[in-house]
Amino acid sequence: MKANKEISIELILKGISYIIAVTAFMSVFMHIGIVYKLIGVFLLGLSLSIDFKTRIYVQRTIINLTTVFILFATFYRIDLNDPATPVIEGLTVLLFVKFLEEKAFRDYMQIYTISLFILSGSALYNIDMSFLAFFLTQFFLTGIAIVILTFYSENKETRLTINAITKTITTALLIPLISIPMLIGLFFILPRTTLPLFTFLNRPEKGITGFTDNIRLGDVSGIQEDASVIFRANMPRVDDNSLYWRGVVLDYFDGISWTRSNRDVTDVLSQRGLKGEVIQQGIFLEPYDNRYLFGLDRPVGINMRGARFQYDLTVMADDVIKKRTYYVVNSIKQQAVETIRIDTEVYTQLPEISDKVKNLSRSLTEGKDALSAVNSIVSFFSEKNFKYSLQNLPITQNPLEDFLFEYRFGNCEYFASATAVLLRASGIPARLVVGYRGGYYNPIAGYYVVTQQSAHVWTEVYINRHWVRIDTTPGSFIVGQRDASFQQKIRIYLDTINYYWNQMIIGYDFEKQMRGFRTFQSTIRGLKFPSFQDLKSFIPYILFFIGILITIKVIINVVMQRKTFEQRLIQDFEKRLKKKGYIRKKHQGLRDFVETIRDDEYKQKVFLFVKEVEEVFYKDIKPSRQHKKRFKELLRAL
Amino acid sequence: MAIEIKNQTVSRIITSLAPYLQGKENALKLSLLAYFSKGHLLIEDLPGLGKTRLAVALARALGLSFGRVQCTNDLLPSDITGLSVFNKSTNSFDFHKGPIFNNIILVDEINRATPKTQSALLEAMAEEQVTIEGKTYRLPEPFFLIATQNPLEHFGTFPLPDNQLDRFLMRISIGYPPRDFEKDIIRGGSKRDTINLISPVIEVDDSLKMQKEIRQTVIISEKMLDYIIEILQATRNNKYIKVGLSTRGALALSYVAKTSAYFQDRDYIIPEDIIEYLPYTAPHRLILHEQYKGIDQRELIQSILQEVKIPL
Repeated sequence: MKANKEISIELILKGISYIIAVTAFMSVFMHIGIVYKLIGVFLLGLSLSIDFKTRIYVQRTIINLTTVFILFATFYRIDLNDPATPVIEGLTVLLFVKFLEEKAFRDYMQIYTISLFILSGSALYNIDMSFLAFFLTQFFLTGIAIVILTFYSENKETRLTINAITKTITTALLIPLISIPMLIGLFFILPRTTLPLFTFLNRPEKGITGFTDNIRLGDVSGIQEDASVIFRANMPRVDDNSLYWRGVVLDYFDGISWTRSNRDVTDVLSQRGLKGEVIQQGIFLEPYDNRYLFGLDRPVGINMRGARFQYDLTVMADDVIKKRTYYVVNSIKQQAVETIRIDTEVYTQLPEISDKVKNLSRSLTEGKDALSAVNSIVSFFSEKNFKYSLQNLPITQNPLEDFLFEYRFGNCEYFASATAVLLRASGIPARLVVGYRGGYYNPIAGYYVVTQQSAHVWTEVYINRHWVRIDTTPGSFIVGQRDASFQQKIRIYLDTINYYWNQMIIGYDFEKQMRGFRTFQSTIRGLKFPSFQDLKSFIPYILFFIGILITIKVIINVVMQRKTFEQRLIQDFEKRLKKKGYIRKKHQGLRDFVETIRDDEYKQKVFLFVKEVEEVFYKDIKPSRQHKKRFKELLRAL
Repeated sequence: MAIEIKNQTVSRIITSLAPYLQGKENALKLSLLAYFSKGHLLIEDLPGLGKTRLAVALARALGLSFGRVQCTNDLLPSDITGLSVFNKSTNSFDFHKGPIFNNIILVDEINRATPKTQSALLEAMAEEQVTIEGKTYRLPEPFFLIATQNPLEHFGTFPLPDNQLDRFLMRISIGYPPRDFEKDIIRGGSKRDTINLISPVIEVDDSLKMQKEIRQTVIISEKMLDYIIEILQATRNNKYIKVGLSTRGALALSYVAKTSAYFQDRDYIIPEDIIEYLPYTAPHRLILHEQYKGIDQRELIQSILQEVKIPL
């Protein structure tokens, strides 16, 4: 007996929807303001009585206007110290307002979505066991509700037996259950989203082949050119000769390798020395195994949280660069930077070196002043026909000596190192700078791509209170001066996509967004309602505006609708009856339609109208003025 | 579907016949509709449900003469139309009129007659005249033919060709009377004799006048013409239907609609006049595609009606 009892599907749907909404409401109940608690409860009661008793729904237009108002108010109330509460309060009101109208498919879907938002919002306040309970309730009920909703949208009158309902619900429960294994999969990934998901899954190889802060000579015979990108620099094009990207300064030589001594840099830069044309670069740095931040030589300022600026113009991040990083660096392109005082001892440090090297140094600089001494060392490399090579590098105990006197070829490390050693041997302060040289310019997006193969080391020498960049490496290797091959060109253009992705995701500027938001909000708050005096001067504008509205309306009526009097009459008639809950089907004759009216008194009235209309419509009579008047009168009575 | 009759004359006929035709009010109304539309009626029903009774009662109430033909496969055309017999005294052939020369003629089990006989009948229906031995005889006016056929029997029958079905204005069925009426009938025994007691409600001339009035005074507006055309098109473009409504079918719709309007004291037709009677006027005129023969034609018509917008 009981199993055969039929229940209207609408009732089930409404019941579930209410439970979902109330769950969402309860999840944030403790966290919203008292006023909103009251409004929520009041609206809930009101919609319950509408849905299950009176069935007099609020008009959609009113609902929509209210919605806009609520959104506006929510926005107005948003406080950057606690942005969540106003939003959740607004959503709560929105949710229950939604219940006041006659709900169609999309309204139910909106209700479920808003409920979900509210529940997610509640997680901002607390995420204890109660959240799990609310979440599971919503999770399963929404699944069921959506299945029932599809039934409902097919036919609102559907009635189901208890058996059928049980079956439906069991089946509907399966859908969320199936998704649980997937959720488990996501569970392992999601909590680690402090790192970008992509990097986590596919961490790129550390780009150590190019750049290093430990220049070691003589332990490899060849260096593979590595074309992977180390950074992209968004900046105007500059001439190739000044494309030195400064990384780290190395000041300590132990005979084989150059390292950075662990000391506070005591260089005193002259204020004057840092002036000049500033070139701003937006750098998208790929993850690599160190913490130095690159910038066009010489960097003078950087905006990046935690970046440390050293007086030898080395910039360091506070940690190893583990993910794509964006920073802006300002540089002046000067070959020499005025430095008032340096720690000469540090920059002339040398280990025990062979007499051969000492003698060479002496022979090059004997009796010369600092400037010509430097000149003679620099020209020594070109005069003696030193060659650049990445292959067959000498693997020896004395790489420097062998480079200078035997092989006479090597990579930049040998050149820079030898230069610095020769200078230091003569008591001239010198240091090594590791960085990059050159780069491909992408004219479409306006940035340089710098790859690992552009890694470079050069020397800086201190003469006449200036640190001066000298590069003794033969220039032929410089990437960027070589013409890019067709393939490379294509790669550069393809790289544009990469670049824009970086710019949008990595370069995402929260501060900028918040600034935009604040401006927008202050504009809204700044709206002042005009006083009466102001109003007077507005009257012509208002009239003008109304005039335009009327004109538009008329044009729409004339052009868009072009409906006959009859069509408009019937439209009006149908609108009135729709309010009473009677909807005429397109294939339903007027009289058959009248027959569907249950209230006899009302039916009589409608019938009178229909009869008189038919007499005109179906006798090919052109409705006269009297007719029209009469029809309108009859319509008004409905 | 309740058919409301407002025309006084018609409702008088119905009231006077109601006691004799318990439970057959709908069939009675449809028969009157066909009669006043100057059409002919095909009743498709099982035997013993009061077809003859309906025809006789109708004839009595309308003050018309009544004839009946029971069709068999040896029935000849002359058995219906009549034949000339040599008269010795006048030394000439005298024409003896057959049953068709009545105002109302009931042709029972028309599908048992041979095609030859059927076509003679149908010619009479269409032309309202018969030609025998070169001489043309006008049929009496009014002339109303009610044919019946048993839908279940196929053995030894000659189903009416589709084009001949088209000549019937309506195809109806009477159906079993409701339980209470059936009890009354059993209790009271057959009341066939009592039918003869029915006195005419209207004169023959009156019904002729009414027939004429219906054709001439009821207006079909442009809108309604469009509506009829739309329905025709819908039947012609339906995927289940091979041959939709013919122009003759359309005329039939309009005639029935006019009479329906007249019955309700209107001088114009409204969509309901078409919609209500389409299940009786249209289905037998449709020829379905071979593979869809099983489809109920009446339901098909209903679904077609749902596709056609009401003219407003």
